[in-house]
Amino acid sequence: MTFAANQIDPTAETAHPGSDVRQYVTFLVGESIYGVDINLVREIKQWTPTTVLPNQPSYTKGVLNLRGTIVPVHDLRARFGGPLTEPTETNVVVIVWIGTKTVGILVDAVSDIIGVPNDDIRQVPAGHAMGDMSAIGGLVTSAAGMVALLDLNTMFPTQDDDEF
Amino acid sequence: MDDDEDFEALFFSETRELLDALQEHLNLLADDEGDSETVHAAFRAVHSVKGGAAAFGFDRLIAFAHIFETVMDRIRSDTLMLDPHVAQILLRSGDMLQVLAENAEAGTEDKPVDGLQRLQQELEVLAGEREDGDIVEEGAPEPAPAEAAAPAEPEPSEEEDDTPALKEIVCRITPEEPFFESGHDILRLIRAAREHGLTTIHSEGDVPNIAEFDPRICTLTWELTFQTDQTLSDVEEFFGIYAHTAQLDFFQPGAEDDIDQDAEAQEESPAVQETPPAKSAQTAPSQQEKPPVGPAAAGAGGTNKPKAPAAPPNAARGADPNKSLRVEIARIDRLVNLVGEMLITQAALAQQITYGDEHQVSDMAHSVDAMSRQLRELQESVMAIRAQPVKSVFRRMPRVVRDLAEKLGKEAKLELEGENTEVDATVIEELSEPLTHMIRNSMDHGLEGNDDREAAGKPRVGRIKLAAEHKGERVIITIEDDGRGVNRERVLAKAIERGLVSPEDQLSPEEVDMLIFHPGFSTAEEVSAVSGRGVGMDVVKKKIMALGGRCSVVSTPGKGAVFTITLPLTLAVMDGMTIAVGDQKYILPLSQVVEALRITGESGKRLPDGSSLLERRGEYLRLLSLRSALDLPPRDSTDQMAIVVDTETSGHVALTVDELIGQRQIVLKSLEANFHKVDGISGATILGDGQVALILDVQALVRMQGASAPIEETFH
Repeated sequence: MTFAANQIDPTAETAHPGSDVRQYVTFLVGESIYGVDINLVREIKQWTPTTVLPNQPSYTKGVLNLRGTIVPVHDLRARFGGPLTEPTETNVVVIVWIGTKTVGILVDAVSDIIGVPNDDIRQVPAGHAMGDMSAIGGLVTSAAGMVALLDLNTMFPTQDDDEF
Repeated sequence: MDDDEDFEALFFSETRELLDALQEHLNLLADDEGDSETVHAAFRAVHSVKGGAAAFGFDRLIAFAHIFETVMDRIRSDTLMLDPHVAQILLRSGDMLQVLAENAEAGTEDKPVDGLQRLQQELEVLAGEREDGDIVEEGAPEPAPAEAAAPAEPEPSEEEDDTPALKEIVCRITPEEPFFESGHDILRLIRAAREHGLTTIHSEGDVPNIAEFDPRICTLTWELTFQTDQTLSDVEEFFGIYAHTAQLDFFQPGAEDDIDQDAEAQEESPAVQETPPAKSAQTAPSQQEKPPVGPAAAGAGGTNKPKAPAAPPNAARGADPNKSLRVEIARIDRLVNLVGEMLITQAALAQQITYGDEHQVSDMAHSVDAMSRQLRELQESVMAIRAQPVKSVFRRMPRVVRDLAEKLGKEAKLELEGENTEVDATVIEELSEPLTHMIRNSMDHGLEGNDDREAAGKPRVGRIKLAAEHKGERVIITIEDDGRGVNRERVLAKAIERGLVSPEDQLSPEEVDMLIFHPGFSTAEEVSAVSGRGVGMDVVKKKIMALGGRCSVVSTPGKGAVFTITLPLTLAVMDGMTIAVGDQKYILPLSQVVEALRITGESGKRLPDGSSLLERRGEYLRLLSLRSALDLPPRDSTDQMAIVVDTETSGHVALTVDELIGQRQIVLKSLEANFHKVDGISGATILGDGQVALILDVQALVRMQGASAPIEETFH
């Protein structure tokens, strides 16, 4: 079961030019709510078993076939230091654009799409903005609770560490 | 003007082809294998480049091509003997033309080019336009003395007084039948003429009635009026390239006595209608491709607002904007036929399914068989479209050798063989750099100086042979030189010094030779400008490996060395062996698989350090557990298979796998596109069930699993 998000240019800065409200897709990992800019979300896919890659960080679940391209899948829970997710059919993979690359993020469930005025985004309190928490670009309060907005570039750097 | 840029791109792509062909002809001539037809062909190539360059106003290119053409013309008409000295100058001129064309394409036409002035003067000597002793040395200031540059520069009078008197010069041009056939275009001519002070255009004649219209014949005559500080002969020179294909008459209304042209033209001159420049400039359409068909279609600009030179090509176009392929029609036809066949099979299949009963199952199986065969053929045909002869890379090499010969002061001759061997276009693109590097290596390290060669009883001129041939699913490229061979003592000393091997290691001579491919190895004691910039053959090897190829060297001390590169024919599809380890499936490149064995209790042995060995027909091979190499959870399994693979660096190695699934053709997919390089994995593919299977990089896996482990077999 695959439903594609609106195919919007991933490089577009804002969804609505002239307004400072951005839309975020929120999803659940355990009790936590995370949000990603909707423009960066390509599609949301049901979990299917991945092909394991050797010698990778434990949060890298492997690669899957997305209509002919090979896409890596990362476990968001494990990325933030939690235990490895044992994915079942109810888990979903959020396919996002990070720069020019397409990457899958394994989460428990997709919850909502929220509009967030830029002014409402709060910084992560000083002292926490280090280590893993640097991957949180900001915090916002929604009806369901606090949403941590993900900074995908920091979280899954796509820079090649190739010597070529 | 997009239109102009399109034409410009076309011009450069054609120029590249022409210059490639020119190189080939000149090489033949230099080797004394050409005949008069070769001379003609070379002349035509230079002429066409010049003609194209004139349309775009690349002055340096035109000037150089002009004198080059004059020399070729003299050879053509037997006024100049083609001796080795002349041939050398021609070869260098071919290279120079290439450099100038490249500069023009990069939008850096005015960039100073080393040796241009001198070469131009040497050509002038050959053309009989300059005395032999009159060559100005290279160190001379770049704006050459006006006198020296005069014969070739279309605009020599820049250094005259600041406000030269503008003269009026009129040219009547009547295209004759070969005009359009030669690829000329009157609109282009007019645009180029604007740079030379064209002010007024007047056209005469009428387009014939459509029934009599012949597109090859131009019934119009144009009268172009220039307001210019150039002399009549400069203007004549500008029109020179049209001289064979159009009737040209020049006259100077202001200075009657100056005119040595047709009397007829003179008579007509009072009839010339002066059109105000502004008016004709406004009516100038710019997108005209075909010769204009009405008087209003001609464009003109004024001297007071000269047209800006064509914008430099987009930087984004990169080094080679020419990403198109030329494909033989026969190959396309083959595809079309195959698709047709497949449609028929598909229809048959559909019918069999619709009206199918028990009996028709075998018919269906038959159709499916037919379809698989057709698909395979279709795939081969599609691949064949991408196949291109290695010629395009090989042809660049003589120039590399010539440049180096000059720099190193060694004479060398490059032989090419099998230039028509076809390889996938992507492979060809990637091949240029490693090949250049290897040729450099042979020139710099392989060949001795000419005197040393004579002393060693070898022909004075060194020989390098570059050859390509097909062998099965791979293409083999060899670079062979008759130099001194790999200097094993120095290689070994260097390797020990760099800690690549220990002095106690007993390496066979072949192993020593292979050390030159070792990362960070370069035998050049001094970092020379030619090779040995801290990078060496290891970079070549890396690049070749990235293309799925291998390289090796066989050296005979004192006699020379043969470097061999083997490459897959294509990068997109390969034959693979599917294997399973645990619940994961992997692909081994079939080209590396030697054999598959069942591991029995007795055949597996252990060394005291715990590493495993496999006994095979009285031989011991390293046994590597793929399970542990791939970081998979261990499992006790007694019933295992071993696949013996041929690694480039460590000889034959046996890999333990759980199951051998079979051979299939796989389509390569990149892991790097969305992720990054993973050690031990060269790529991925998608299996029939949609799952991703990783392609194993056997060399890397073996290396990762035990850099210190002893080498079982020697290189071969």
